[in-house]
Amino acid sequence: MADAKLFTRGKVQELRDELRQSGDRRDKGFLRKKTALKKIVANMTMGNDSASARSFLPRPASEHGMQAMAWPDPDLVGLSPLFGDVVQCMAIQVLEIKKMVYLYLVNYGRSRPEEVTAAISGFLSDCNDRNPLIRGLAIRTMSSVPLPAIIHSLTDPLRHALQDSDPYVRKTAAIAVAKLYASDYGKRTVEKEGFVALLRDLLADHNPTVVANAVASLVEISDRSTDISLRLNATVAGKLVAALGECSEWGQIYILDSLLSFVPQSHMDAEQLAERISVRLQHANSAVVLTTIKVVLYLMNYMEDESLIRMLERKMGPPLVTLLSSGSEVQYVGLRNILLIIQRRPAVLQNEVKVFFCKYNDPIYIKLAKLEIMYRLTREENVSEVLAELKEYASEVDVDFVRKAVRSIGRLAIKIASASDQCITTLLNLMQTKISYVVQEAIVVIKDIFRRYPNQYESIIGTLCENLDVLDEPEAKAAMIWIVGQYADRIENSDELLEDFCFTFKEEPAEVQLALLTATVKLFIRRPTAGAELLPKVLKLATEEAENPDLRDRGFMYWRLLSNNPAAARDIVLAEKPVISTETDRMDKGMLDQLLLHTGTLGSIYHKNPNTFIRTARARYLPDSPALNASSKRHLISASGFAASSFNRSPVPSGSSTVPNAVGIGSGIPPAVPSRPAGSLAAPGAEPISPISNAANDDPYGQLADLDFGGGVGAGTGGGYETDMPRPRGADEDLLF
Amino acid sequence: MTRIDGIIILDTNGKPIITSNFPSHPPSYSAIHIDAFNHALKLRPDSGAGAALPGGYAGVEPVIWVNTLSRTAGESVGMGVGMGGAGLCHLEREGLRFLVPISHEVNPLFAFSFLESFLETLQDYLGEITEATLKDNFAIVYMLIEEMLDEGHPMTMETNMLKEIVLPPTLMRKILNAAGVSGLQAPTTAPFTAPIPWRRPGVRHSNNEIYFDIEETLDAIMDRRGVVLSSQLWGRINCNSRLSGNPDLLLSFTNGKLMENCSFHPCIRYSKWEKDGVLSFIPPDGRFRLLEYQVAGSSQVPISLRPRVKVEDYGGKFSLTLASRSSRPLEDITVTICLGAGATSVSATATGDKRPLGVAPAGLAPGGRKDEAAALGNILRWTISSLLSTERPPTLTGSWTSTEREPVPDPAFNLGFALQHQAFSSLRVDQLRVRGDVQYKPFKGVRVVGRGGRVEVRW
Repeated sequence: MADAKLFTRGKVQELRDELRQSGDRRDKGFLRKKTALKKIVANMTMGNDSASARSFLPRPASEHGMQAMAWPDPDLVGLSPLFGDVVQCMAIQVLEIKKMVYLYLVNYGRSRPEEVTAAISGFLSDCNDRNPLIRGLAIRTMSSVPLPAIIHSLTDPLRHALQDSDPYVRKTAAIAVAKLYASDYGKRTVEKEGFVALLRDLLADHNPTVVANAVASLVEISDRSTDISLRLNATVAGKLVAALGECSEWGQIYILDSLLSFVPQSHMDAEQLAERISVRLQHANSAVVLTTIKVVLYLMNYMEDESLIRMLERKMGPPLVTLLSSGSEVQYVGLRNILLIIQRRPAVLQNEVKVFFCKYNDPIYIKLAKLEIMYRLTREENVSEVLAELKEYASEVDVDFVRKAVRSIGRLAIKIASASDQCITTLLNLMQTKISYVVQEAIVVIKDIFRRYPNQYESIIGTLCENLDVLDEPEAKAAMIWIVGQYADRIENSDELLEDFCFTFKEEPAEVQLALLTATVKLFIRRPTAGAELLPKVLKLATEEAENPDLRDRGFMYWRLLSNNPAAARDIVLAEKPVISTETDRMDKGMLDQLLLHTGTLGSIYHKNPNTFIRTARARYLPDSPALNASSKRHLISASGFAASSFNRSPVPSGSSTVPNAVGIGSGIPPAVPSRPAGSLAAPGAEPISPISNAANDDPYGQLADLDFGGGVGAGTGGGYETDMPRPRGADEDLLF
Repeated sequence: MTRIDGIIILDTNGKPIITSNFPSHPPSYSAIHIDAFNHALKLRPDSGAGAALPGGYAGVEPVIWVNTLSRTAGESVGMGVGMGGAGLCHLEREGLRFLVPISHEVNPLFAFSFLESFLETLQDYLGEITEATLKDNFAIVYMLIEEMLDEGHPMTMETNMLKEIVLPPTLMRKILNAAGVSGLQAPTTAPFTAPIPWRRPGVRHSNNEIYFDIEETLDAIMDRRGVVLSSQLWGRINCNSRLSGNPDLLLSFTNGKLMENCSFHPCIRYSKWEKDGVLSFIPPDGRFRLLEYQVAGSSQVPISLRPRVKVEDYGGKFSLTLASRSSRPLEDITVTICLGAGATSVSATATGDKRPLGVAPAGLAPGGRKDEAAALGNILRWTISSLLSTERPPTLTGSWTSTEREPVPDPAFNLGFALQHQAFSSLRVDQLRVRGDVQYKPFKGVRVVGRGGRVEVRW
């Protein structure tokens, strides 16, 4: 152990010597220094975790002349002791060396807070270098080391950089502000120094990349902050969209994402914006396409013109289909999103079901996603094609996929009444394969079909009963038992069948036991003589020998019911069952609207609100506005409840947008720093008003929220927590362009 | 919040080669992701058929969920607040795995797009992306990551711009280095963010030339009777531009209306396309994808395969008949199927015209067809170098044996083919006009090819 340590220190020592020795005059072009630094960079990966170090077996050093690089050494774990020596290299005015030094500083700066101050003077001189690349590099590196000392000395250079003459520096600086904001000290600095206002100014920059980065930075800050929130008005949103055309795809994504902070105040706003950005549906980059779709879907909530909505829906289909020509990763993300989109906007892909037919060598996750979409897109007109296809899938090898395919056939029978005959025929065909899991899956769905269409398909019961031997899964067994019990009077030997099942009563899982109990009671009621022998046995098993309390309770209940009032028992047990439908597997519309705000993001992959699985993420709510159309309003889910309000996105202006011409950046800065109002860019006159107040009418929870927020209207956010909130500044000062 | 966390590159054994810095996460962050990924890989359902297929580790979803809640979360410099969970996007290239964790509410496509550009750039710099080239160029890869990602925000992504900032490891540079000339002698004062984001100012070439590759791919599913159940025709136009200055190009097609549902490179002026159906653009320098399109309507598949397969105990028999439905010669036809995990040997005989009937088209030597049926592992592959619609349809009949009592061959054959000098959609370039501040007449080249992409025939 001690030896290993020594050796490590020795290695570091070796590198240090190399770095120092290379500092003499004979080192033309700092070649040796460069080589030494390269070795350090190469070894940096290893510093991260010692497990990874083991993967690099020591190899003889390759001899490619001057480029010879030491292989990452397993014994070399931490390179931070070299800090001082590396910092000294900052003075060398060779870009490549500078970059490597900075790379090192980013990686080790955090772990050496005492020594990092030594680098500050170097940083500062680089911030004033005449090469914009070096200026940008210095700003970028400094903002990546979130130590108070560095942040403190970064303040002035950063302010200059935000107004630098070179766009490379400006765009770097814009992101640097968001990076600072991620740390506590940096956050305070950003607020104190009014950097947010400077960012806002950059929105008017003539270089589109700078605009995009500034907007990205603002979005990130408003996502992180509890009291700054980005809010765009129609004018600014329009200008951002105008910049879209000249941006790189990354810039376009930033800008499109920011448009979710625009709450249309009239149908026109939404319709015009959506038409303008719909051009982006033609972009080569799939992320741009999906982000555009997200924004258009969002804006649709604020539109009224049905024909325009139809038109946009039609436009959205083809780009979504195009995603399927990409690699399986992109396909997967695309498919999960399509599934979400077509539930809310079924018109989008209604004639495209064939596109989602599975190839046998699609990865399983793609097949499953496609299957679900096929089910959703099936209608009376195309059900035959889809059924033929599903039948094909049922013969594949992947058990999970086969089961889902069989189940889909059953679900289609329930969804499309006119196709139920076809579905049943297909299912019976499949059962002839005698493949155990196919048969069992078919029985499970046939049970549901019986429930959906009573008195239509009982003739096939005989066929089902031929397959009793293969049943070994609880769900299938329970389904079969349900069928036997339900049709006890039509199945000649129903008493024998149930008796057979009862042999293993004690070994069965609760699901099967419960089904058996109920089926026996049904048998007794329908055919009292046939069930007279079996019933007491089962009741005794259920009430005296079973350990499951549910089973015992149900047993007692039946017992008492039958012994007290057999007539009532008959009414209860054989009561008309509510018809099942497929509506249950559709998501709530309000939830869908909410999820669609996350189109293309993690939430849309998992079909859950991201705040339920990512702690930093916040739930998004569809902001209310006078333009919100009736159908979206009906399902509106808003940030109800007190807790939600103080942690969720800052309120959005409701109703009367008093000032249409301002970028409202948030409800401002913390009370501690009133001296620099620049940070508080609250939309003049537009006091933050709870988004709920308008929504309340239709939403039962809205009332609750209204109570919580009652005092909040006109008095700041969060139920009076932050009372001395931003004083709205004069409208003229806030004009952006 | 549109940003990724960073990038991790794993070798074929799942050990990290390159890990970018994750400044806003605890030090163990990358290790957690690597472990989670390797674990998911181990758990993947290794079905017999799936393992043999292209596309490698088919079982793991491309975005996996990683629980990053760890005890160290609170320790990270005042920003450990965000721990709890992250998505991990990953893809495989040449056996290496590229992981991108995202701990914010981010579009996974954003991560995949980034990875794609990153890989393109690496390819450009290193020639090929292998464990060896990555390790040989550690410093360059790190600098690239540093330049492309600013704490997860894509920074400089255009290869053209990157090359001015991070010098590629060329032979020339090695010589310069040996001679003791430093990399960046005269600091450029030109702005690094060019007015046209995809084109670097002041491009110069001694030979001005531009090439277009029109490539169409046909995806289809056919049933055993040859009925096309579903088909899509995708096209893409790749471009290699080596033009000086700022050329403004105008590309027109004889039948451009065929192209529907286009997705364009950002350089294309959309309004011009909408109005006149022509592509007007200032190209980036070098190789790039100009546009992708889809040809609407179900397309004819120019080849048909009639398969007959009979599965028996410990083996089976098959008989395949190929026929061309195209007036032009089809080339490089391959028929493949996996015969199941237990398949041990195949014997087959091919029949058909060894010599094409009638006049042999130019370029096709007499007897220029090679039938070759080979079973590699448990995959049956039948290749034919060319096929005409006029010749007797070639057939392949044979049988295979298997160690399994009930062998399970794949339910469909994969069919590959190519159509040279013609696109399936008969799309053709009409002319290319060069305008802008250029004084030269460039050399222009167009190549068209149609390919069978993922065509499967069920039996």
